[in-house]
Amino acid sequence: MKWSRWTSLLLLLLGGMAFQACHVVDSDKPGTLTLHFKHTVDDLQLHTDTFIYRAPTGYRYSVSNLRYILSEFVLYKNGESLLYNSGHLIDIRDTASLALKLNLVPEGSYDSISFRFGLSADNNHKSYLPNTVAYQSMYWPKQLGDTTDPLKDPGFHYMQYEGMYKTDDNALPKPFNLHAGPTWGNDNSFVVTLPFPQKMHIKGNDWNVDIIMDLQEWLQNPHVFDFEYYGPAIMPNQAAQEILRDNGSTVFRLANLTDK
Amino acid sequence: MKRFIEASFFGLIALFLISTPVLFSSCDKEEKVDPDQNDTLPPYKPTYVSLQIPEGFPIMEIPDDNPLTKEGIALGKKLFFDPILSGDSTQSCADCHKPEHSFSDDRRFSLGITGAIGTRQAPPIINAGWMKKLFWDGRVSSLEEQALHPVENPDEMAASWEEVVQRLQRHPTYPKLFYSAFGTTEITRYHVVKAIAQFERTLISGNSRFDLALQGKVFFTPLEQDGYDLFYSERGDCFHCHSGLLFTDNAFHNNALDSVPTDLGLEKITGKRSDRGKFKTPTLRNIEHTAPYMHDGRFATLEEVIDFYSEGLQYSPYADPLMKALPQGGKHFTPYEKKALLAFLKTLTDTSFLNNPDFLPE
Repeated sequence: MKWSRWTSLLLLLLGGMAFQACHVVDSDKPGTLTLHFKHTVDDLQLHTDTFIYRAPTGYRYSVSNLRYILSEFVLYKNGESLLYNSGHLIDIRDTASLALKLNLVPEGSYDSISFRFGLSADNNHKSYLPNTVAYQSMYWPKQLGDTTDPLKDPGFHYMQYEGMYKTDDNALPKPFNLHAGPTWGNDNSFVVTLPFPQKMHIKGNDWNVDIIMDLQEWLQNPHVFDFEYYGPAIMPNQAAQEILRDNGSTVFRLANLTDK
Repeated sequence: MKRFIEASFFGLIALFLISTPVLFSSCDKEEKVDPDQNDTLPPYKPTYVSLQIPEGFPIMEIPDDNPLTKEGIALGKKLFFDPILSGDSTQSCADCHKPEHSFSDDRRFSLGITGAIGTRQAPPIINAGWMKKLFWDGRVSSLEEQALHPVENPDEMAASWEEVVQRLQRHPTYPKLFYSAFGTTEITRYHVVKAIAQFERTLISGNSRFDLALQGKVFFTPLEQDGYDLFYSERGDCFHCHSGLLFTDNAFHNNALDSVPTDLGLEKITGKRSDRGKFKTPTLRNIEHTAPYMHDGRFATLEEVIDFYSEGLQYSPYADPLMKALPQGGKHFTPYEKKALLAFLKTLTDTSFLNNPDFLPE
């Protein structure tokens, strides 16, 4: 059989396709945004298990554990919004959980981000999040959920923020457990919207931003949260949940938006 | 010049024809070649196994380098019950991890082959495939790594891996079994622990009365129901540590056992003072059959455990904030609440696990 140049060209074309099969086609130049979750108390980096913090009530306190779920990440540009409809568990003791990469962010100039603290009533059910041991340890018991509907899946805690406090410097420490969630079936989640410090121009590049939670803000602004008054177990206490929900509006801020 | 261009062009075509299979194969996973295969052994064809995971249980992560196979699991089971792994061939894993006790030890501390007494209670091996940290202090991160330790521990099996591997290599049947499981007759300690880990991953319990009640197949008695509701309330507050369907958060807590913890627990691994007296939350599944309780087996009965959480909490600066009744010394349960909790805990007994012939010696 005689080789024709056309046959050869066809084979070259097929060879090129073999290469292409191993690579993603990059046409509209999407980029990524990696969210880095950081934690402060009164704007200073969090240090666990040490009584160096003072609550607005005057109590000294230490932080032992902090885990919380954020969901419904949305990026905004020119009035358009792009929803990343998933939840993410952040645990200060699990380094891998302290970053979340949003992939395939379409080309454009973005001016803000929003996310939900916790999970909305529609999304707060077990099948919404990955079925792992870590997520199962955030389950909210049905005994503290919507008791009028025993078949309803109560979903997850939004947050477990735990530590010890002293009413005065010589007192024995007592535990506090700011466990936020859907008390008695109420939707206590809330949306936080944060403008970027400058425009984020996506054009095939990778961006990073810090989402900083200041733990002191849970205890103040607008309401003072008194550990002594609410006690160590607030899951059944809707009034305490509403204080956390109100205070949550100033807990988060953005910093260090960079194009790497 | 034209001839040169033509020659170059067809040279490129030839190069393409030679390299095309390579290009295509670069997209595929590399196939392993068995270096040990020879005429005397049948082809290495392991039978891959998918575990039956109970409804609602978390995803079990299986290490890529140790997939479950029928042959590996069978070998792991044989090794688990075989005293060949101990220094004087008198003690197997099952001597301290007894199937009838949900693979734990009914003695407070286990005895090694030399008569040495351990310092911690042998933990149950149940739903261990979901554990990311092993031992009470979480010092290892996989079942494979865990299985390396007891063999050489002088207070336990007191052997050396070199000696154990030689014994297995000289054994009339083990080399063939290792070949069937791993495609090699050259046994290493890593093949041994991989096989044991495969067997341990099959030790799944999810068929208790509690599970059947969740599925609506049985109903709790009124006492069990009250215990269940108490367990999952802030009043009882057992569910934060014993969470999810595994009844453990796989985390470490100081549960206020001692005002001055003598066993440092997690602190010995991390070096952090704040980890003093922290131990891994044990599962409550089959808890009725895993006495004695706590990392040091100090409580002989479940009643004693409930009494401890009710009246026995000891203040220490290392106690976990989840011990919410610490300032009051405990929850101060009523006698009825104690009975109800006990009744609920017993619903976690899974007799189909305890009597599963796949988990018992041949």
